[in-house]
Amino acid sequence: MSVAPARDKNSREDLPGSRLAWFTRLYLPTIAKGMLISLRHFFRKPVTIQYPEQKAKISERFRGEHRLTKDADGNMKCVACYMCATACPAQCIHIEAQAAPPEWENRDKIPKVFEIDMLKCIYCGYCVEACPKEAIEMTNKVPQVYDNRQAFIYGLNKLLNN
Amino acid sequence: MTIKEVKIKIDDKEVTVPSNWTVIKACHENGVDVPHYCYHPDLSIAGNCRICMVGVKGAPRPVVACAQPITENMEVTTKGKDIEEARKSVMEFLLINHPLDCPECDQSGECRLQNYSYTYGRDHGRFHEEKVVKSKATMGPHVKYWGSRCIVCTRCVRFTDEVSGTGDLGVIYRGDKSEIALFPGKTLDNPLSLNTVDICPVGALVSSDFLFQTRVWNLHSRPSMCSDCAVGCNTRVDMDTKNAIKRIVPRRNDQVNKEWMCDYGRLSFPYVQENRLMKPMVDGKDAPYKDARKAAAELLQRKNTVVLVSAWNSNEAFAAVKEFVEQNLPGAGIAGYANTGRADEVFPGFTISGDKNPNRKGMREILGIDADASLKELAADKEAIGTLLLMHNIPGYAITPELKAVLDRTESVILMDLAKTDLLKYGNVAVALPTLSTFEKSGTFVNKDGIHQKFLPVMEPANFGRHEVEMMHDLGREIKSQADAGAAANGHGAAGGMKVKA
Repeated sequence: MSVAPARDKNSREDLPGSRLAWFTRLYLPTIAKGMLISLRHFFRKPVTIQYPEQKAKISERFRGEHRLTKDADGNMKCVACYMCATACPAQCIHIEAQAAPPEWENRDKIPKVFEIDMLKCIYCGYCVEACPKEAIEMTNKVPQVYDNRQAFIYGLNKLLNN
Repeated sequence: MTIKEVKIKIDDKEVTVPSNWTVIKACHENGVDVPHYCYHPDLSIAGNCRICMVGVKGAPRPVVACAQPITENMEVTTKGKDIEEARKSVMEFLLINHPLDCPECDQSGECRLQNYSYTYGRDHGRFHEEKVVKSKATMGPHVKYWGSRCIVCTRCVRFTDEVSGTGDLGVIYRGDKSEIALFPGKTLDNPLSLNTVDICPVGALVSSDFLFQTRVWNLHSRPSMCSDCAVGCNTRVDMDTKNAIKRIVPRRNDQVNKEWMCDYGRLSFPYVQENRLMKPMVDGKDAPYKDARKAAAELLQRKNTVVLVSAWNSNEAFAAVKEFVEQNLPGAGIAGYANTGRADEVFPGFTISGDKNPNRKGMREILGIDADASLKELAADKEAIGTLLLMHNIPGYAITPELKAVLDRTESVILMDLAKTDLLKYGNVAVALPTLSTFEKSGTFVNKDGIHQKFLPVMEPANFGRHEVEMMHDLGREIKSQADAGAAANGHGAAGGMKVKA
């Protein structure tokens, strides 16, 4: 029984097409072809936008920064049920609950602290799906950039007015 | 009626049970789950929730297992289409007026309505009419009532009638408007009131101490034991993600506490996080453990040394003290003392011990010391004490005149304690060594009935404390090494006849 000799890993001898024709090895035709493609794009409408001055058109369904919604009386809808925090795969939502003010008759509990760490958030939208009160939604605001970590932690006020 | 063992069949499995049992008890004891709201093994039978329907051969329709006595050759089926149908209908009825405010309800996550709804209920509601809204009330200092969530199983009513005997609660109104209410002029302020929150299968009665603190699925639990009094209730300690204790609930032990526990014990945990003695101290300043140990060992070898242990220490600590004194300080005396007690609080179904020490019996067993008599004897003794090793560990302790008398004629005190209490300020505390609370260490307590119970740590220590056994061994080693180095003081004086009593 004959065994084929092991192939030398560094050798390119037996790879198909490893020997290029002399014409191809000049590379000039390929360069010319590439240049032609570039040249064609000079006369087309650019796909890039001048970002800070121009804003991209964002889909209605884009999952951007979160917003806490309000009811008809202007009170926040959130009842601090921790469903979003429980569903969150990035564990970026921190909630502390408190009793609702007695004049809010339709609920017992509201959040005292509601923080989303935007650095941890992966914008998956699970919090929106988990919410039983439709109290959290995602805006189509592009995630913002700040120069310190604390600014990325959005509190109750920021989220209600986002 | 004589009780005899009878043979019955549960789901085609033949079992032998006492004839005075009910079907639900026979099922539960033989590992067959039957859903129930109103049934509680320690309360009388009400039979009003109707979820525990089972089939009995020969009966024309499903029967309630909690109110059905066992008969000879009974054949019980807990599964099957008609039973599922019956339970499904019961669930639908119970949920008709339920507000479904699970997001706001504290019970959510450990609620029988939720669990049974998943297991037995239907997947949608068919009730489109207006729901009956019932009252909200504050029942007592620790208990709040949400009427709309209530399924009127009357567990709480039976509890106040039969176990606490206070008879605070009753059912008012009829039919779908019926709700739980306080009798006029009464409040649910007995020291067993939080048990009603535990036995409430839904979120109708909630603890105002735990209210809105966290959601129950964020808690993790460890079995523990209450050290607040001499009963030694078995507990489950629930902690949040930051390992802070959020609540303590009873764990079933029929020999000790059944499924009950007093409010004092439940609310006794804040001392674990409050005002703890964090690091060892020498002469009022933080010091490394090595230095504190060395200073303590030097002090202990002076004349007239007494080791004073409280009845809040475990059997293991007592044994370590005994061994330490026998091996290292043959002349020193061992005395004991206890936390000040009060009268027992006796209820028809539960007794809260007035002895606020978890291990008075253990001290007598291991050291042969009666805590109160021992302290009196030591206080009456007039001889000055050179060094007092005080193993304290009692949270919320007020210094008694006897202990004061002992401290006043002590030259220097080595204090082993949990917190920065009055004891640390009072007297001449030369060395203070932080210890662990019962939630942070392991050990054994002997309760008032002489039952030995082990407890295990449930959380990481909040301070840099050490177990008493470890510290006693370290002190023993330190004394030996000092003696070997020839630096030890010569001889130990006898401390006023305070010898180890056999």
